[in-house]
Amino acid sequence: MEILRVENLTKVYGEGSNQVKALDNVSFTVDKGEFVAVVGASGSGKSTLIHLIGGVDKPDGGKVIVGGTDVYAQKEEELAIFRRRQIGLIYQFYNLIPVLTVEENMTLPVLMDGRKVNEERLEELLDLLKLKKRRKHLPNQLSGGQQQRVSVGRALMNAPTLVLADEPTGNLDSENSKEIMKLLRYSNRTYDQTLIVITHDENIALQADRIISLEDGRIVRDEVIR
Amino acid sequence: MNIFAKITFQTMKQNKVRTIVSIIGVILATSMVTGVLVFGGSIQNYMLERGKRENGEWHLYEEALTKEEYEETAKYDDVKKCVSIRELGYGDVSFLRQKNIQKIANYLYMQTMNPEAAELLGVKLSEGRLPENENEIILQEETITMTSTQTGEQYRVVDVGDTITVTVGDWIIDGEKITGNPWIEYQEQEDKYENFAPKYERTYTIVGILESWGNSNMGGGGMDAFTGDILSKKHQEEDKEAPYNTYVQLKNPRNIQNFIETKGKGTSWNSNEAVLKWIGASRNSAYMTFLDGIMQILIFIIGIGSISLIYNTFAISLRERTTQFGILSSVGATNKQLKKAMWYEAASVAVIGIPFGILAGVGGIAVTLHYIGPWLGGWIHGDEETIRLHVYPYIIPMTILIVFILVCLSVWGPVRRIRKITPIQAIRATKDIKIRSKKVKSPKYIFKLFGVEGMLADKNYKRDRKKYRATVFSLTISIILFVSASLLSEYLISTGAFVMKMPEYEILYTSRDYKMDEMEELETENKKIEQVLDEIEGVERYQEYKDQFIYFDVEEARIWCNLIFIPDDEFVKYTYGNNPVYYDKYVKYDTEKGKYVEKEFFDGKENLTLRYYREQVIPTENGEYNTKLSEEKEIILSHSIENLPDYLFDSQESGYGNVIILVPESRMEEYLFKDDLFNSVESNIAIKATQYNSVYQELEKKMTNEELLENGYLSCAAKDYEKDRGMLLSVKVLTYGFIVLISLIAAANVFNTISTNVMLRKREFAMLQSMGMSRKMLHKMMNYECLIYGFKSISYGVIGSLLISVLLFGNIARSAQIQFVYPWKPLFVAIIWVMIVVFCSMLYSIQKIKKQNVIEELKRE
Repeated sequence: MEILRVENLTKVYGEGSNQVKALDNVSFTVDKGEFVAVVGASGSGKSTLIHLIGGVDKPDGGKVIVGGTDVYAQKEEELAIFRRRQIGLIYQFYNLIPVLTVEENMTLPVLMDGRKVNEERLEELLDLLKLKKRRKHLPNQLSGGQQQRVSVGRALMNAPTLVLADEPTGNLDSENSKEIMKLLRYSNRTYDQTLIVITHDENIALQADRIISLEDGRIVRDEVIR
Repeated sequence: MNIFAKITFQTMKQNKVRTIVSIIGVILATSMVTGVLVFGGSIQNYMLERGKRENGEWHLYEEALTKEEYEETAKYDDVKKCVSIRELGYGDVSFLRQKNIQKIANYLYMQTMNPEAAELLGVKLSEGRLPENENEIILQEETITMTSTQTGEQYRVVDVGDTITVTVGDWIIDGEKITGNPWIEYQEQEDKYENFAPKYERTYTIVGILESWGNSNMGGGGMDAFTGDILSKKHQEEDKEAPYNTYVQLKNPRNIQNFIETKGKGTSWNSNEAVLKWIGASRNSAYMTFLDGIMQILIFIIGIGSISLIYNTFAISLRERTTQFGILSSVGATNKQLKKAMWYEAASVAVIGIPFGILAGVGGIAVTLHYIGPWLGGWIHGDEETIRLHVYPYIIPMTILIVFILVCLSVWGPVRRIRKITPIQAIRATKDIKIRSKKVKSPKYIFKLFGVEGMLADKNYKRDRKKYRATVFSLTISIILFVSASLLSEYLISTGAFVMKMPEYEILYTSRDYKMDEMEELETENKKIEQVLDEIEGVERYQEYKDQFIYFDVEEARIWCNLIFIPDDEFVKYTYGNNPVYYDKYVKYDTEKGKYVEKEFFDGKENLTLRYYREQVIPTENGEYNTKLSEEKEIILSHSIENLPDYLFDSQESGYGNVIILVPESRMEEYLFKDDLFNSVESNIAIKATQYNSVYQELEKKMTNEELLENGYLSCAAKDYEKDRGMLLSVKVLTYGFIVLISLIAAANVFNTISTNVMLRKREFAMLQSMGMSRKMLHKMMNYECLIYGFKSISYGVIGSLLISVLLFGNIARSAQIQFVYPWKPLFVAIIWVMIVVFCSMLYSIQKIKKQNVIEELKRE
């Protein structure tokens, strides 16, 4: 079942003679439960693509349709709620809220909705992410690996339609990197979570079901691995 | 607690310094708004209470109502109190006819009075009590006092306790009965005449002397006289036509106009402007409009400064929280939720800052009025009444509302910016330090003079000027305000309207006129006084001199001046020569030109011949007055002198005539008039004391005990100086106090902006350091940036200050002769202050940078 459709997506930076097309009419689809790796050299448009899919940036052309919804046809409030409920974003540099505890950072999307936290789901995630003993700690009391696990927990809390990870292991050592990828794969397999990961790491890319290669803002290869 | 509120409060706790600065900003703004309102309210209350004391608490006066109309008026819902005094007519008394020299105002204006009316109308008695019945009467002091034609002394023809017989009747001019005691310009014509139509005769016992009351018409045809309410049937019958002059106090005096239009009765009406104008209910609301206007201007200035600070604070908060907001937005926070987060911050700061600000404002004004209240009262009304702190109930809610609006306006701008950036831009903070689309060029001379540090500083400033606008604006405003306050004081002093010189000899004894054949008596008296002076410890020295005032004519205008006879040895001491000399410098208010003008009467001429005389007004036996002129005499004035001996007061201080002529005492008789009436002088003893207040009191006591004040009186010239100095001090305290607070706001603004700018550029500094820039070079670069802000503020400040100096000069020069003042001194002080503030902020920020780890900063995305 198709869960994501990208149509002629374009993003341009700069003005006049300094214009750079970060994305140039990119189109592709992703099915539910797919694990897609996006690879490419620096400046190929990987991060831009994932940010546009996640609704955290604005395209200059094209469409992004997630679960049948045209992302950028929504009003600002609808878009925010879309991000809250449909998307789970994981960044290279964690981007946790420094003044919130591990628990609060993880449950942030639920708290923003004004809903009650599903304690069972929270306990499950804390267990899975090995953060139970750190649940009341602030980000500055955690290691890099632990912070990234919190970031993963936040992304998975609402069981979103899409999990988007921008170089999730870029700032971690090999041990922690393996750990994070294990978690992401686990959620992909167990919860049929659709996962799109940007990576420079060939080993990580080969773990995916499909690899999309970008070069100068265009898809140059779209290969199904398994 | 809502998650956004929690994030906000935790963030505020983490950024303690910025949070405290925000709270201080709100406290400053609130205290200043409160201060202005409380101060204005205290002055308003002072004027209102004064008006009530002097004129009573009535609002509306309706003349000549009937009994039915009066009773109807009293029943209206709008009316709080309603009293009446009945006009019985005019009273003919023998002693009054004898007293007055003019054809009109020979009568008593007969009215009734009761205790309720006396309270509402502010009746004051100098002696005795109010009349309790129709057989008792109170009269004015002026009515019963006469001047002896022989001695010139005043005495009472009748007194409290005496019985008088009054013929009550109507006063008729040109056939018309006069009511209401108006002022009438009377000209006697052959067939038109004023006469008195008697109605009845009554006997009254004088029970009190009237000092003043709230609707006295001093220029009226009759002198106020009040009896008690009419009680007996006989008198009620006689006075049945007597109209009810009605005084009303309204529940809501602001409705006075409506009341007059819809319910007004009577032949004419009047309002108590002295009270109404200070409630803002006057038809001539110029006074309240003026006070309101000043307060609005002050609040506007405070508002600009406060908004600048508080806006800056929230703009900085937003910049610091941009990444945080980006993360929250990427996780799904709506713009509305993010805006609420900003409002939580605004509300927290306001909730803490406003109460403290109100307390500080009220407390500040209380302390200020404690010290300058007496002087301000003297300045406004020339009396000794102190302006006291008065906090109207509306002030607190009004302050809260004004500051709340200021905070909302301050937050509104930053909150609007939230929706303009995408989450990813916010996370990367890429919109914050925005490079302008035009190239940011730095002139070559900057690099040559200041090196790479200067060039970087120049480019940093140019790449986003908006950020620094608030800083430059705040500093410029505080420079201009400080200079304005200094100039205002200086211009006020130079108008000459204030006594700025403490008199050398603070106390003066002045005798009565002594004739030439009484000189021995005078010398004996003076010797006794000098003996007393010698016994008092605080007396440093004293000097006796004699004087007489004279007139001379210049182009048909009569000028009066003083002939002062000083001891011969004093004359020698001041090397005046042997002949009379003159001092003709003075500052006087020229009513034609409408301003204070400095003059030299004779322009320094030498060997000036002056013809002079004296005039005296003498009462005659039939109650009229005659004027008598002395013979004309001549005096040759040798030359003018630059300064008077320090025991003489010049014309401005003494209020003497335009010219002072000094004559050696040995030649006194040569210049005195021969006529017995004018052949006299006053003796003066000027006294210099160490502590004039205590010496004055001691001297007064001793001279009273020894009956040395029977033929003269003591006065304290130093008190005038103290009064004027006090007034200027009040002006200075108020203006400088205000400026200090505005400057604190500016300083907080500068500190906030500079320290946060530095914080946000930590990565940039780390990058420069990693490339080889030493700490010394980094500090140099920061100092150059500081010089740019400072230089810009000072440039604008200098221009603004010169403009203000011209404006102030233009305004004040319309009513006083003053010189233009270049504001260099206050500018210098203001510039030093600006540089101190900016450098302190930089020092603080640099201290923070010193602690940073280069790699950690570079690693941040």
